[in-house]
Amino acid sequence: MGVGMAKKTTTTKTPQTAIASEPELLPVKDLYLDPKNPRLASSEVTMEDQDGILRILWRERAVNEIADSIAASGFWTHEMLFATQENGKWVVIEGNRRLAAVKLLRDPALAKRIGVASIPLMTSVDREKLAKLPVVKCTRESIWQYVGFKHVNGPQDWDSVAKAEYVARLHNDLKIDLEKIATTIGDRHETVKRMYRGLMVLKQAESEGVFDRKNCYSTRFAYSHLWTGLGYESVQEFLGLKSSGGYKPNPVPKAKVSNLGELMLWLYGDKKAGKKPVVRSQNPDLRNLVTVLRSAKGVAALRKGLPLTTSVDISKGDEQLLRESMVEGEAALRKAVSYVPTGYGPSKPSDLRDTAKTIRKLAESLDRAIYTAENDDT
Amino acid sequence: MTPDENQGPIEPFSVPKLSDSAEEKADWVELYALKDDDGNASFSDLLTALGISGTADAAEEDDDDAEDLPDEMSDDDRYEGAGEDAFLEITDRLESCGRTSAGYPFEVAGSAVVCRDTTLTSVYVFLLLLSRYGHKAGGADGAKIFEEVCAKAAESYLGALETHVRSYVFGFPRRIGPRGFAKALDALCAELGEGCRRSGSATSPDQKDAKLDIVAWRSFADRRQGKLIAFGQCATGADWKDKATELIPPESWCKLWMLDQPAVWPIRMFFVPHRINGNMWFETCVKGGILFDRCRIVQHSGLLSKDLQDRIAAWSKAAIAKNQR
Repeated sequence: MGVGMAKKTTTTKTPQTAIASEPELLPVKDLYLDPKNPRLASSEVTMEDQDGILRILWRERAVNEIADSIAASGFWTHEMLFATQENGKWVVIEGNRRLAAVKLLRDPALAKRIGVASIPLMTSVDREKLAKLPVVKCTRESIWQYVGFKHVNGPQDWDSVAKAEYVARLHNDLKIDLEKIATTIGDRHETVKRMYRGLMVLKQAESEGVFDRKNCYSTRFAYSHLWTGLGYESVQEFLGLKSSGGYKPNPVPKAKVSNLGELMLWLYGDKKAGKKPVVRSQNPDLRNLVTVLRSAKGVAALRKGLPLTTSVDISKGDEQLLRESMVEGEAALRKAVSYVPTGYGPSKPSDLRDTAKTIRKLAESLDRAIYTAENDDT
Repeated sequence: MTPDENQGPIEPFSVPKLSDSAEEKADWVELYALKDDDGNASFSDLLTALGISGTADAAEEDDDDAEDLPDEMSDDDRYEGAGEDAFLEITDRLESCGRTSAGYPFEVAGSAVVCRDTTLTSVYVFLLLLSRYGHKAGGADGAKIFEEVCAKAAESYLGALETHVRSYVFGFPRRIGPRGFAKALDALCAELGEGCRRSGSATSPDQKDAKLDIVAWRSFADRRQGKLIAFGQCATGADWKDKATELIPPESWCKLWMLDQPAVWPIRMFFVPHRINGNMWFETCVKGGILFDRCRIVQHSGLLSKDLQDRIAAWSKAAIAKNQR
């Protein structure tokens, strides 16, 4: 994506000024990877730990693809980096993966130190072409629209927790309105607001001591389960978010904080306590949890430690389960009847005849039971 | 287990689809790490691959309840959710293999899976490759190696590190012991110290192993009858669900083929190199007996001989060379 696209989507003067700035060629050795990169939100890295940042980007953020591309085609100069000066250092706030790739391509000893074996080999002439990179000097505040468009709603997606972290920084630190962030980056689906709400709920769970990200059962913190779950009314109601919407820091009322702890346990488990998460997938487990939360009986079942599927049945209640079972049974029988002309005959195994008799007996028994129940009061 | 049966690979190494199970996506991540020059596969790699396959639309069409999803759930959201499912499955594998040196062979660092020096030659990777590429992927003897690994896993489970636990690979064709069914059964009964072959029992030329692949037992110092015996069946292919019920109940098997039966009926075990989805676990146990999936086998792989380990390593290297490069 070219810079021009960002110009089209931005409406305030600040980013246009920043992006209109002419890039300068700065030595790669003077450029630093950004520990505040939203992609590193779940890692504890500092500016001093440049090798650590590099290692994470290589291992977890597919820098190898970019290294291959740069080795084959060179650095695309129209894809300039954006850097801000902090404590006397030029910190790249947009283009960290490209900077990581270039650093590794230029310095085989660094690649070896990081544990990278597959970095493409370049001639010294080609390496020298990467000694300086085009950099637009800016501030974090001045290019948020560009970064937001590119990574939150644009072609180079961050994962959801990185997006949420970025939105939260804009809103909480730079005091930019959520609606404005959404409008500016072209979000028509309330993604910005919902991600922000999810992160505020997460931070509250951590600050209230009812959840610790490091204690998740999975090696990865699946933030998408939380912010997706918060999109359902029953989850909002369980956390007391329905009236306020929850688009603010500490959105969960004090009285519902213990519910928040339970929700986080069901979503993420507890490694120390050896508890696996109840939700293993967004579909169907997250949806099943949403069903359970609609019913006090279902919640009670889950609290007792009953399996999610059992809790779903309890939350639905016997009346609905009876109806579902009968509808499913009727559908299955209609299907079976349609197969008889082509699937059964004189030479076929007789066990199907026995099964048919059993079904008839069950149907009669069901009919009698329903008749008896109907006339129970008379 | 007869290698000439339909035991082809589940699916060759290819781009994962959104509709794939978490187990299949986790397999893809591990195979990608084996293929990668740095031995590394990340959450980002999986999402990129899912995006390349562009299967979100198809998955949505297959999803009867898609209208229940929150509004405006984008393809990227769905890919990310699917990626989380896969990494939760990877965490499960890490836990299920046991925290031993023979356990899960990959380092799991945050959002990435990284090979160790010993990954390629591990039992886990052998089972992974067997599961994904079939028993012929690394040479002709994949199925036989699997039976030997399973026999040792059964021994381990029955407490082989103590004493008096043995196993016997009965599956056809037999690497060790008599080839014919009747003689092999005689040899098994002699080892077992219980039962003897039914005299005059009909044995057809294709009798092979009567679907019995391995036998393991835990006996006593007195060597008398009455002990814990396990009859095991192995299945490596995509048709493993059908195999779970192929071995007739042990007591029927004994009545059919043995003149004197064991004093206590054997229990059943079922071995697969796959990871079995939690939703299918109970049913598979009911049908096949105590289920040994990939991770359970790895957890009980501490008894493998050096020779068997070498054959596993050679098979895996050949399978990777053939299928992944």
